Amino acid sequence: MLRPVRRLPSRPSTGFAVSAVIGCLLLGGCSDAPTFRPDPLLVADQQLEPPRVDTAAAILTRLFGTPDHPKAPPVLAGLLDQSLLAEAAGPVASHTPGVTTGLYRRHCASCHGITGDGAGPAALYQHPYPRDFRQGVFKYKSTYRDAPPTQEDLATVLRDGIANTAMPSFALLTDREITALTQYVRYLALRGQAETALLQRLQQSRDASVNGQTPGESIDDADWAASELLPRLANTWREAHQSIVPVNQDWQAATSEAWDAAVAAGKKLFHDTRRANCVECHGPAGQGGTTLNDHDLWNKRVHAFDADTERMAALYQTRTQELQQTPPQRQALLEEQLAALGGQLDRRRATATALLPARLAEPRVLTPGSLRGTHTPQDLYRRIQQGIAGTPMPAAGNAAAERPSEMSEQELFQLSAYVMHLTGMPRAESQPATPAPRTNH
Amino acid sequence: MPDTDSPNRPSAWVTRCAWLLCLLTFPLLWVGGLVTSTDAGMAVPDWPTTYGYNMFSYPWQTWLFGPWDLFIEHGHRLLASLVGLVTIALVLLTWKKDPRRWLLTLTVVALGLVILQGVLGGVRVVENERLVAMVHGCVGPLFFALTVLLAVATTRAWKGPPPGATNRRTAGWLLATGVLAYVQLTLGAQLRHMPETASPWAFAELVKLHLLTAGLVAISGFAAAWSARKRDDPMPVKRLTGLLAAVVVVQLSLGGGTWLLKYGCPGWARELVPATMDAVIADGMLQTQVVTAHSAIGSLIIGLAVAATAYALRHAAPVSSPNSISPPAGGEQAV
Repeated sequence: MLRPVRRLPSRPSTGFAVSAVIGCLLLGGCSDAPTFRPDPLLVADQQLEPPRVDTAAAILTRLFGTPDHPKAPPVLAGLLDQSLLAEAAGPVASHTPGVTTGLYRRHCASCHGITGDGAGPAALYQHPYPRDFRQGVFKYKSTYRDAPPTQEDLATVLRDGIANTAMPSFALLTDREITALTQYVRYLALRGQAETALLQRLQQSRDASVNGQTPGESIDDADWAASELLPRLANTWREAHQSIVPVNQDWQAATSEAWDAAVAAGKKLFHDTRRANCVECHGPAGQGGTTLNDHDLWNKRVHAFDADTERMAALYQTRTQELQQTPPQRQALLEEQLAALGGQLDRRRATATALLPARLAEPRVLTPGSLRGTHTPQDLYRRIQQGIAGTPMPAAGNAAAERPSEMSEQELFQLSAYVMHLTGMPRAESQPATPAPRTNH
Repeated sequence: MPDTDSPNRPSAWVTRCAWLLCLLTFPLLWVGGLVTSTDAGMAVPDWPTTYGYNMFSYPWQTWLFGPWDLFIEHGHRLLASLVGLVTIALVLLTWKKDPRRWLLTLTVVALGLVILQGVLGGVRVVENERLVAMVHGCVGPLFFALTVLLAVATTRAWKGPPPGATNRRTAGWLLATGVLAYVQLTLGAQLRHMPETASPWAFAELVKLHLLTAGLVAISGFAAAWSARKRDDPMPVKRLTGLLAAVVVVQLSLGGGTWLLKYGCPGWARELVPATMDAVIADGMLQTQVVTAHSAIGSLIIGLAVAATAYALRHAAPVSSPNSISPPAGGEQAV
């Protein structure tokens, strides 16, 4: 007998959510130590069974510890400092006047979540969503597009905040507190990348055993993570400092006439559909008015998941109709397949209710103050040359040191000059005015 | 000093003590809100001592010139202790000088509440439990409301001849405003103390409830002010309802400001907010004071509603009176 596919509510109802919160608070259930949450999208998409998910969680706990007691794996020495992680992790507390621990939970978790998945309690109504650290992809940095950020890149975002978003400036924190937080963000990113690779490996080994394939070289998953996966990730992050994009331009040196000429040339490139073609997304003179039917990396995975779920639902409907025409002697097999498909569909729909709804990417309207995470001409030059990692904004230059550039340095300079003209960015190298950090310990 | 306890004149000392208690409690609530806004709840890891010192002998230089979170948290404890002492004084003075037994009972209830508040604050620290912090934040305004009632009950307007009858509809709107304002405060407390493990959907539902209840508080508050004027209720009620309506307007603005400063501009409103604003400074003066003010003004609304309701019910028109739902023919009396 076919199990009907439940049409789950699209989102938790008001009564359910409020009752859950009140019940949780009254029963004191929310005071248990928090744990890292396995990526529900990957688990559902890869159809991983609970024992495999538990295996991955156990390996990650052994390597990376817990939200209250993080560990810096030895292979990540130099990238993660255990004492700074301890300062950033755990509940908010103070055992020495002026020294606060639990910095991540104090300043970050309500938006970025305990797991760094960008789905903290306050995430839903923010525009854009808080960053999901688990892919190790960060938008505003000094390195090549596919390279991780440096520690200083992360510290800059913390100190300056990101204007026109919910990300505040943490300029009032001490240097040590900023460093501890950047370490913890890097920790969450590395852990997230390790989790993604581990879940993928578990899926592959499951598929191989289902298909009766004999695996080649057999190595325990935990050993593989420690001896192969983490060193590979560590090398990528260690090389970030060698991946800083050089900027050999001087915006102040140009005379007024040369600058005006650069702005005019940049305007031409901006609107040239065969060259930079910025107008396609940013609109004429960067004033918007276009609709981009694309997503950034973080929303694309949700969009793709939803699309696959809908395709699966359509397939289920089709197969259900086919069942009507199937001879009775073959119905049992089809019913079994439909039941499995229905179960998968239920799980995917349940997972979808826990994901933040996918949003389309929004190309920036280039007006004064509109640029995010971009304060100097050097920053702007890098955004144009590298594009913005994780977003549909492509690289106009070479996205890696060894790749050729589509546009020359002079053309990139001209484009930056035009965007500076549109957004009112001064030619002098200046940083945003931020208060001096506290030095109370 | 001669005993001023005549039937129509409350004891001056009881009045002074009651008002002192009320006027000390509001800043205590404000500072308590600041503790949450700056997450200074665990700035001192022990209780009732402060880093091993007796609370009252902690070095004042470290308190005043040391870390900001220590200043706020230890200051909160000292001010709370002062409020506790004044509450004890009020109980004793009322026992000695005021013949009203119900008033004495209320002062004893206040003493019980302030002791409970102290214990809740201590447990919050000892257990490092945010749920207890939330309860502590909800009991404080109840205590404040009680201090308002005690202060009102010692005024001449309370004890004197009736200034005229208050229309029962006004009294009803005021009662609704007070109850709704307290519900709103508890919703706000849940938002402030939301566990980091809560889902975005639970938070979103609470936000919607908080917005809905804000609307209900505004409606009932404005209705009370309108009713008091339309029905020519006694002057104390008119003044208090007018003040209440004005504070509700301020609170709505503070609520909008709190959201912008904590969570940024929602997508639908981004066209309305200039793009030239810099990133908010986390724990900066603007953010902490606006968020804390929003929390404290919520308690003020409750206090004003309690004061106005108390006056209104004290001199409410009888149900059978032809004036019960029409303007009473009363004189004015200053508070």
